[in-house]
Amino acid sequence: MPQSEPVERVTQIQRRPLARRFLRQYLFSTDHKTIGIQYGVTAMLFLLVGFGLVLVMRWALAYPGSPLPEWAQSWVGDKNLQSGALKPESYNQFGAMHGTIMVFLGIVPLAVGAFGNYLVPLMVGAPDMAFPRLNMASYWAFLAGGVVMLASFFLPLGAANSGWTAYPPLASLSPGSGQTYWLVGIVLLATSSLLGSINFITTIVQLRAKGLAWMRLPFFVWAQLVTAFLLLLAFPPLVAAGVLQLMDRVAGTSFFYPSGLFLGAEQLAVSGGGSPLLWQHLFWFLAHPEVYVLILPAMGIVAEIIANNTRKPLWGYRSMVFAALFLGFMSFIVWAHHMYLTDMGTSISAFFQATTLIISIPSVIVVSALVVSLWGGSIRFNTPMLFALAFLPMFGLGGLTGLPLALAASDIHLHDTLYVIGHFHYIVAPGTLFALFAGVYYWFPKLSGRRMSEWLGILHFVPSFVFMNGIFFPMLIQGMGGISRRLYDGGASYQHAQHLLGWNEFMSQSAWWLGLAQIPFLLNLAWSLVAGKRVAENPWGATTLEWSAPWPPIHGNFPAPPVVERGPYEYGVGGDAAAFSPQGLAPAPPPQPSAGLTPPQPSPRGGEGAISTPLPVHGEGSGEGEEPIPHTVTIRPDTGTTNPKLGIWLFLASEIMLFGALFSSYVLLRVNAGAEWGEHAARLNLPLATFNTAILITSSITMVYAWLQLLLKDLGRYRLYMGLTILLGLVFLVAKGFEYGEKFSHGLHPSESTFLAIYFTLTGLHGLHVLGGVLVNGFLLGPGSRLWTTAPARFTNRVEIAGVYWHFVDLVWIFLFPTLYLLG
Amino acid sequence: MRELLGLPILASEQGARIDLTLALIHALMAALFLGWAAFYLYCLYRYRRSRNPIPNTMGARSHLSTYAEFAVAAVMATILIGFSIPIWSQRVEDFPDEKDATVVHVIAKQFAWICHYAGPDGQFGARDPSLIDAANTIGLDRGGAGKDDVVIEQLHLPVGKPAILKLTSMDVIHCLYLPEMRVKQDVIPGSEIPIWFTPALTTEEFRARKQAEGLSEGTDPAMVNFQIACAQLCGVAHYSMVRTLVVHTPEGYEDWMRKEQEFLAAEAAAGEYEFEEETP
Repeated sequence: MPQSEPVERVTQIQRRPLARRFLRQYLFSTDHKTIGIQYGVTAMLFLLVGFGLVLVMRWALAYPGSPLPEWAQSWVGDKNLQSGALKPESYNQFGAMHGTIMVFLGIVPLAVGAFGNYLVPLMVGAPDMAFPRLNMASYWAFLAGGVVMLASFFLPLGAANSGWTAYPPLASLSPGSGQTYWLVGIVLLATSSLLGSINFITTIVQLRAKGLAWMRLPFFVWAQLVTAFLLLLAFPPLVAAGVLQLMDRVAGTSFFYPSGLFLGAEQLAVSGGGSPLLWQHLFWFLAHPEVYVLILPAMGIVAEIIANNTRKPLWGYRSMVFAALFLGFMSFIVWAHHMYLTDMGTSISAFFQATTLIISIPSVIVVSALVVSLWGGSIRFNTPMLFALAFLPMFGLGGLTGLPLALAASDIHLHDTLYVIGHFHYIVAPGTLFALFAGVYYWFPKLSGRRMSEWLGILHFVPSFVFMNGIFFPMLIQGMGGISRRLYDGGASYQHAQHLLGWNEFMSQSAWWLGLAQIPFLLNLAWSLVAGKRVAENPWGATTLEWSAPWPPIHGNFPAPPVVERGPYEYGVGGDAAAFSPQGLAPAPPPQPSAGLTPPQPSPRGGEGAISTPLPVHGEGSGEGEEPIPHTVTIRPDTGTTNPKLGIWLFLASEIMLFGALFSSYVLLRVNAGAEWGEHAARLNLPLATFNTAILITSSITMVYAWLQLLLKDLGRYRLYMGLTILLGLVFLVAKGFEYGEKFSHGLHPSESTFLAIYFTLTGLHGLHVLGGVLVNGFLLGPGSRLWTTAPARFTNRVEIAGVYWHFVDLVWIFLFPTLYLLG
Repeated sequence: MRELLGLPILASEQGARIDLTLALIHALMAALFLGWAAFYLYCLYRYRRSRNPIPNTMGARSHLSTYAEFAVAAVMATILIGFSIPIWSQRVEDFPDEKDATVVHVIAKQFAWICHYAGPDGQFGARDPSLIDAANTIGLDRGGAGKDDVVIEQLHLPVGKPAILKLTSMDVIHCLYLPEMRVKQDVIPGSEIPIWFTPALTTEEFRARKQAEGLSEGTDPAMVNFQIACAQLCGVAHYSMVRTLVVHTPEGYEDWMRKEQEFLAAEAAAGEYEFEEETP
């Protein structure tokens, strides 16, 4: 590890211009605390946008056909209005984007990106995330995805309008570019989640402080760990589905178009042969685990706050942990309960009903444990606790209303009604969102050194609780009465629902009042940042490690690596409600140059407000000599691996899910396909592909040699073998390009048949992976190799990791080659 | 029970079991929620700081919650095995013989439900995509077996006789929804999905029931009807993809079919088939 002179570095950085320092510290920071705040602020803005959309939609539902208020019209824009009222096509756009924004841009980034990022490293006693720059990239990918999503509103025909579920053929036929933007946005958001989840898992596994055994992790950290696995493994199939839908929209393929579609009296000019249900399987394979992504971090937050404010340990901590793990596992085999009505047979529906009922058990265990935790406590009713307590019955209602939807028989009546909407809003809005509010109130002093106002907090809590129920309970009533979801007229054309239409205005009024009820919250945030009551480092008397970290926060979190001595919730020790035993105390800061941390230099308190003040002593993000993260090169004894190695395997796991989803699509399409499948398969260039296979296998061998030369300390030969690897990769790509050209010249385009569609998609995606590998290897051959002179061990590591990736890409081809060229 | 849950009027023979399942689950849900809420509120009251300044760090010692969880799991398993699976199996496997049923091809397209009847000969005419135009929306070949086929944007069924609907879509995914029959089924382009049920109330009886329950206030009783709705977002006018279902007495159904045949004969004589739009 490079040992630069800390003193010299400080002066170097301080000499940087102020503007650049600002950029590094607040905008392009790699500090997990800053990134957490960036996520938090951005996600809250998106939540406001998503909420705003629904407030407009609720006008259309409450007063069908009547014009919006003048001031609202100017916000909504003439494009979306017809004589002042919201147009039906705009209603559909707003609905689709409300769901997308709330789930992908609001709740998940807030629960995982903000709370997870800020708290997980602190709670496990780590100096930062395992991969700080990936963490920064994750935020920027998220922001880009969000900007793409929002930008689509300004397209001539507006944003995506086919629901957040984007079922084809409706979505793939949707006019304009809104749906295309949506797909691109989803791919960016998936990238962000992927980078984030690799980071979370590696951080929790590799960077736990000394003594922080698995069963001493706060429940919040467990919840984030399971969440990260869900994101890692569930998102790739959606990316695969997104790529396929993008191909349908852009390249004219027929992945989701069956043969013989008509639009009006016009036959749709596509080859056909695809399957609309393929999308639903891939989508729900993501989207059901996604539900647990929405709820697990919330459960984690509530658990922390309840333990703290009952002043006693959580009841049944171990069963909660195992329940969360079981929940994560089960969430991958329940997806088709969203699809009972797609013509499902008895045995398959019985399987998914059973798994769905089984998955309700761990959720019940977690929530019961939280409720039973209240027993015997000495309960403090502060704002965070109020929100956390309200979470329990609200999530309870949301969970219980899932039961009739889990059973196929009762789902017949309730499927796609407002009952479903009520069900999941109870889980996500007064459930997760309340937990997130609780978290904001609870951890606000951690990042600002000030407490939020209790009065404004209660002014926020009480009306929010009332109006949330005012919106969502009537949805259950209307749904039971048979009103479908996604109706522009709110059910006015349903004769069977006439007596339930009066609720529409009631719900809309509740929604608008709920909007007003958020004003105290925003005021509270702003006011408390500047003028909130100053508090000590641990105002709640909390046990977990984040409260042992010094305030103001420092870059590197702890002056010296903390040591953990006990479980997470040792409250009320010796029969005193105020007493507690912190999980671990940072030892007095001995100057430990080997850890690369300089002693903290507390910066002055005032002024900065919520923004942490990282000390710019480590030259963040500048490549060399950045925050030394433990186990970047050295193996952690109890896990037996280094961070990058764990990271790359996690990445490859997600890649396996991605290609696995595409291979499954291949199988499904082939089963459905007609004779043209074989004809087109027979026209592939087998000799060229065989040649390419040999090229790629050879390149794997040269890649291994390159790495071996580094172990032998021979940079010259390393360059030779690395150069050869790159060359072989380029030869592969050129041959591939030639093969594509040959196909195109014979009129064999992806739109010709489902075989050609999947052939071009699979080989194209693989080609992009090869290209990515060539670029990485090129970097390691060129500018990246400078690291050899300063940190040879680290450089060797990088080459090894790049090698693992390269072999994987090679392996994918070894599966692709027989599947496409030999089996056809 | 139905009124308590707020379900629409029930008008099919198969729906009663679905309603019973819904009632059982909701009873279980209510019991769970109330039990839970009582415990929760008691805790909040009994263990507030001013009343209980010293926490009991051991917490609850009873295993009651574990037993409760087992009990709930057992009840759910009973509902699954005793109700949900049999209902489903009846729905997707126990189809009546087509000879004993009214068979209708229901074709969904943006934003209409088109019902295609075989007519007196019992043979469905062929459908040819090349014949599709603005008037002949489903491409029915009027030669041969299609001569007496009725194509209409209304669903007509006789009461008490099983109906088999064969669902197809010409464009996107729709979802056939007959609230009073407790029937809902996705209609997926590229596949034909059959569904069956037995109407138990005629439209006349339904109107009377509705009036008796005070659900048709302010509407002309003669305008009250069963409806076919679309439950799956299918585009800009999805909300208005609603058509009428008329359930006749057996004789009434025969009458209706005879009138349709007369109508067809008149059209055939005029040399041109008008594919009928919705008639009152």
